[in-house]
Amino acid sequence: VIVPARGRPTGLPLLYLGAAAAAFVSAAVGLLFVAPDLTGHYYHPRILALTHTVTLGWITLAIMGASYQLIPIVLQRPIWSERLARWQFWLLLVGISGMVAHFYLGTWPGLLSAAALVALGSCAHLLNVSLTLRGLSRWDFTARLVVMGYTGLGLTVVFGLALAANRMWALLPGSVFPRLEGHFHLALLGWVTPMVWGVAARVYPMFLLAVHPTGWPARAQSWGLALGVPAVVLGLLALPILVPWGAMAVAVAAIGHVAWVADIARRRKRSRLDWALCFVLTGAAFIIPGVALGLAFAVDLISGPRLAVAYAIVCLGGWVSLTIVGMMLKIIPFLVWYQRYAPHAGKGPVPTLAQLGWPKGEGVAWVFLTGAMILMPVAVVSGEAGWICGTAVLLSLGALAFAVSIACALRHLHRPYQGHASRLPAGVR
Amino acid sequence: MEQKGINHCCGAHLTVTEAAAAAGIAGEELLSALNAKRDAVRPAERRDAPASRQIHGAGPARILDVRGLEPPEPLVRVLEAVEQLQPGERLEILHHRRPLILYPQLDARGFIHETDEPEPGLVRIVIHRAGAVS
Repeated sequence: VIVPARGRPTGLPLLYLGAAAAAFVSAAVGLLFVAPDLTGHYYHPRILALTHTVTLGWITLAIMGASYQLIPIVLQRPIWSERLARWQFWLLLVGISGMVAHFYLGTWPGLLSAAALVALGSCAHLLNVSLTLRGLSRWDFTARLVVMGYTGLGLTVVFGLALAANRMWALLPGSVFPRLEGHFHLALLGWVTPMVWGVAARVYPMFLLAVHPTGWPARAQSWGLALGVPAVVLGLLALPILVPWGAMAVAVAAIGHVAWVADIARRRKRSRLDWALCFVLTGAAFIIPGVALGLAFAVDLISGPRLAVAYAIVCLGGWVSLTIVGMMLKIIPFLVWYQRYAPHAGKGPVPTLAQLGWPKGEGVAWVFLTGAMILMPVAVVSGEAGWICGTAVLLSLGALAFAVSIACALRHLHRPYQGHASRLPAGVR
Repeated sequence: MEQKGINHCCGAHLTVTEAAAAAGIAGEELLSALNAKRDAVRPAERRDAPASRQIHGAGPARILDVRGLEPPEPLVRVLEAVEQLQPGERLEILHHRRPLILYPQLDARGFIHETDEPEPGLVRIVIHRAGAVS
């Protein structure tokens, strides 16, 4: 007999996911002001501030919030300490805000202090997750990728802290751009990619009513990342000959993931796709141009700062952000539903998840965000500030539609569903 | 069941796993066949026609298979079913994973539950009203 685990608090993941969504909207609106800078080199304080708003404020907080929601479900382990998770949130929030502000202002001592807070918050998360996963008996695909992702997080944080310290004391050998590229790829491929793919392996089948990854797609993802990420990062930092081989291994991993997503999308039992699922499938499609650009950089077919920014937008915006938007459009309404309506389920009719959100707004968000992620890399490569501003407007409108859709779901925490209020059970007011 | 040659032993007294073992076939094979049959039945009929049988020598049990449903539908179906449980009656849930979000709801409503995993990919939760079954 399996002893049931403790219940999950829904407020904790909502805290992280709400802050992440706010960071996404801030980054999208902030892009309107930074757009002219994207015609130049990416190594610019304001672009670095924007990049860290996206990578730390949006992506990292979203992944950590989703972890606190999904680890208990998919790995069947209760979170070790919710109190530590809340402390960690405030450390990260202050640290990330400080880092973005100090990048924008170009003040390096402040940047190092803020980075130290982010490192402290990340350590708290790693400790919490390590103790949560302690004693896990089944090391399946998701568990392996999650551990890989947390290893990547630890290394990315140490690397980032070293880069911030290097600003003041010039400790690191080598030149600045390989270090930045190493840091970027460690974060993207070592932290974000395994976490998103590991969680996707459980969440997509749950909502598409399809199968988990097995066979060669699962092996390709695991081994491709395990071999490719160290090779890419070491290659960028010290041994350039490793970069093409590492990039090819990562490409194999990406092919495995895309093949699995295409397969479950084709064989799904759920016939109609909602907007959240459209988002995650569109995000997966962006992996193809992202990998193509990465391979082209790895074998020196292309180069230059504008193409590098376009590559970053395709990966962080097209692939990661659209995927996270899709997952959040599933997770947040579910958390709200669970907190507000689950106690009344079975005692009377309760609204469905679709009735909590705003499907039209999600559709508008998909059109604008997808359009922006397709057009913005082209605009950046063209170097036309007007075009970049235009795509930034599209992105902002999409982000606002996403935020309103999320707000519609969150509203139920204080104001329950009114569509069939007379059908709601007593107690839902 | 008849196609698998186990109509003679299953009756209303064995779990699916036990029936498969008794017939000498893999549990997964039997479940696949049953699920294929289930999918051919209209959902409303499936939901409203739980089988009755004995579990571990206790009172009668109803079976509710919530595998293959999109969240939070499994939770809603289970909570609807437990609210209809009579004293002494048990509900057996078939799930593809441990439903961690279900347990707090059952605890809050005063239900006793027991979870086991008869085979990989199949989780069974047996629920009854507190104090109703010895």
